[in-house]
Amino acid sequence: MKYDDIIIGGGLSGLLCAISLAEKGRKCLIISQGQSTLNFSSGSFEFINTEEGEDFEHAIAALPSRHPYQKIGVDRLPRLRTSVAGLLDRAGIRTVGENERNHLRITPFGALKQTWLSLAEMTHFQKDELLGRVLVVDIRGFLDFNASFIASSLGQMGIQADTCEVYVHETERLRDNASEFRSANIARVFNGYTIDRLACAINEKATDVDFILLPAVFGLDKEEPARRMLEKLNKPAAFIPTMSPSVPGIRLQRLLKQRFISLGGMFLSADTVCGGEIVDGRLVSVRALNHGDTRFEAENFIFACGSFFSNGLKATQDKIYEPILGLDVDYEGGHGEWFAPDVYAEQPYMSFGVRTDKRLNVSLDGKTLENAYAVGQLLSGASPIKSGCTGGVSAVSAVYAADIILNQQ
Amino acid sequence: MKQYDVIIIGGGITGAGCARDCAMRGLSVLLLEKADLTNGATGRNHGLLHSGARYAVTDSEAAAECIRENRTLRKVAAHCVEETEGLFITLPEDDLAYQAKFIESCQKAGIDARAIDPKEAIRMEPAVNPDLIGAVMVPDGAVDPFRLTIYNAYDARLHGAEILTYHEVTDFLKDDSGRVVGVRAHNHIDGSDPEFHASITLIAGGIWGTVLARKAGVNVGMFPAKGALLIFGHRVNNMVINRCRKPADADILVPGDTICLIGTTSTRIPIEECDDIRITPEEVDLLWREGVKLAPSLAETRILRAYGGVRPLVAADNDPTGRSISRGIVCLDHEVRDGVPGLVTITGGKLMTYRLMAEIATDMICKKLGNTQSCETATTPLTGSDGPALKTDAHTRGSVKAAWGRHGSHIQDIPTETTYETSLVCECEEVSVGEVKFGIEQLKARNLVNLRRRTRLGMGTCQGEVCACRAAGLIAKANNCAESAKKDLASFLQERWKGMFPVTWGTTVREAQYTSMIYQGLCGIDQWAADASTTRENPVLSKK
Repeated sequence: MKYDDIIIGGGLSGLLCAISLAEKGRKCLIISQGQSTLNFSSGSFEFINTEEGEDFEHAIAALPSRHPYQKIGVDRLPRLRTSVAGLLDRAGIRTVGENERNHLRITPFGALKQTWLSLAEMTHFQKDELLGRVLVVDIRGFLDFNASFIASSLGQMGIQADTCEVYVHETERLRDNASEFRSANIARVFNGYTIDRLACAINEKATDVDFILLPAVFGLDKEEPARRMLEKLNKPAAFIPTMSPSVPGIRLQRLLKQRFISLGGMFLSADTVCGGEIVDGRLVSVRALNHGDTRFEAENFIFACGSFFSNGLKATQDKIYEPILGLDVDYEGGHGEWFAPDVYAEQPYMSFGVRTDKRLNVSLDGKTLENAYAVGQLLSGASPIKSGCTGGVSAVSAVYAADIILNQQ
Repeated sequence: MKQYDVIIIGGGITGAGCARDCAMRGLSVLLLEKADLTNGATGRNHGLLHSGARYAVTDSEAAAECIRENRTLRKVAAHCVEETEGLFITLPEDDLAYQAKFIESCQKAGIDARAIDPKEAIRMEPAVNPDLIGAVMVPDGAVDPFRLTIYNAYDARLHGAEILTYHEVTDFLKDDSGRVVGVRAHNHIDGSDPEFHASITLIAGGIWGTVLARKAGVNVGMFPAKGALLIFGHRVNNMVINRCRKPADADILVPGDTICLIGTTSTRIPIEECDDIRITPEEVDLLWREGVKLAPSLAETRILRAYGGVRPLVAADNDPTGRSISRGIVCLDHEVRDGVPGLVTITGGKLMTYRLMAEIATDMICKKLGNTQSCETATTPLTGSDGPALKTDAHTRGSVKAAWGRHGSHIQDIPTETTYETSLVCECEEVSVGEVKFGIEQLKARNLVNLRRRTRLGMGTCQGEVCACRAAGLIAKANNCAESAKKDLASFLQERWKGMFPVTWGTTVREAQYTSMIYQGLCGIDQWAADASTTRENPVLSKK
């Protein structure tokens, strides 16, 4: 089986890279294990934490040279961000956010977090914009969203926030099974009239408020249920992500996958790439567990396998390694130095990843594989949670790698 | 001011056992614990229901004590005990000749030990190392130290005792004659420093108790010995597996609920380190290496966490060098020993002999108070262990069976009327909303760590990352304070990380990264995170 490009990994970076290539008519294959961090997405993409009023450029200038943004080149980032927003838009994913600076989202604990792009229905504010009386809505019996956590934080910021609990009989029925009342299952019952009735119940309680905050449990396959919910409410409203699984995240992944397939892409799911064949400094094919001896051949290979959580990296007591080919990995010290005793401190292991050059080419035993690239959380050099660059690194590195491949043609 | 017959300092198994025994004999009892019940050595051991076989060769007296208490606990604390039985295996590198001596010593101590064919041992316990050349079956079992302590305290309360957690005794009150007449305690919940008065003050606080005793002018020589253990994410063995050799490091593998534990090591440590036990890479390596010899599948099993406790070993009196250290029970009448009336210490001993320790201490206290009631703890079942077995059918919920295992007859107090109450909070350990409510209201859980000890919530493979947030929501609701509950959640994750930190490889790194992505990335919990240098766990405070 011969392709132009094979992308290993079907998360945010794999899908964005593959779509970029497929939009230019290339024949692409994604091989995905099936789970990705989109399943607990906040519904927003961070780019970088900034000081108040500061734009991205200043914060990025302060990053170390090993950071993927620095490798890609600071000058290229604004254009890449524009490309990402365009890709999402063409996939039917409406987002809000400026190209140069952060806005704020409200977290499930009621913290305010800086972010770059948010799905249009999620909370998005500029500082001091969040005013007036707020009502935070709980769905009765749903344990993975806690309105009181959010309301009490808003209260600490001087915002008057109340909570209320609503239900419809469809959600009550779902509760008969002790472990089924989870976000994705709830989203399945919310369509059409179920949404209208829930909106009615909320409207009855939201007489004396200016803004409504809701758990993001609407629209697993498409945005329409979420939009309908907002339209049926009498007051302005927005969604806050729940604990995992993330309904907006699952929708993001589904819409991106649909977009890729509609462009003629092949998506091979629930399979694990387990090895490859290298000839003269080029990766010529890879093998997958469920396909035995089948050789998946391509001109280019993009490793978008994620970090430890996605098994893109593995750790033993003695070493950190990339499990498919044993690509060169950037990490320092022994086990004792990989982790900090304070869970909330900067954790060295978070920045470990596959070593690349400025073109994101990977290497094996010090020799560059000129047709193999790494993108997303597999890259070394970022400390994504601490510096708030998870979504940004995944998105721009994916589009950048696609650009390099396209420019070679 | 209320006057008690006895104040007990320490909410470990010894203190809780003493509180129950004293209360059952009609004494008015106040138990003061500086943090939560089981916070010290009690919550940091194997959870092994010793048959005594381990001590048979080296200490026949301890062995005989163990087997007697083993039989008693199976009867009176059935819902805290799992009758797994145990094996002592001989591996090719061990001396098979030791086996005969071992069996003979066991029989002398009254322990039913019999050699079985190694092939039979493999049939009974398929996880055992198949290279074994000898096997002896003994009546070992598993005991849940959290459950045992919490239900002793609960039972004491049912008999009228008052149990105050998060009350740290800071000083002793003495009258003009030098008699101890009570204590002053710091209330960590509201910040006050109340005084409590009693005829007798009993120190049952292990290592910490003896440090405190110095304030009363009493010196008990302690030699704290750290014991490290590893918890594995699966229950690979159903029987306790021991090495049939002289007691050494890491030669006991105990199954417990959904997991199994290998331990322990034994290292002397200074008393100052007892509050913050950290496990070293060398200890992890040793435990893992030796554990794999008992059950080879441990090599492929995820290590959930590493932890350690401090054995409260006591130096015999008149031996300041500590050469003759006793693992036996030490009950000190400070009136006789040090000329400090009104003060008694109970220490030494083991989890296994807590009931006997309580009996000895209570006998001494009763004698001083002129109380002639006899001890009934060897025959009267613990509350929860006093009901019939659970009747199950095809429709019985998994969470009901799990809760019965944890709470025995108190399962009837766990609300199950609504779908809300039966919905699951912790899927690994099948803990329902109703059980969490029961833990908060009846078993007095004041934070997530308390709740973990009372329900196993967060003890399973996910180590709390999925359920902790749900449970924090329920605690917030019970105390009407979301901010305090979020702070507690932040320290709960810090505490979980402390145990994962020494064993972070393989899937544990995935788990750690996932937890960080969810709680820090998605939720922004950092803003509620306490300083990591304070390892102390705090109660969730109610909004005033």
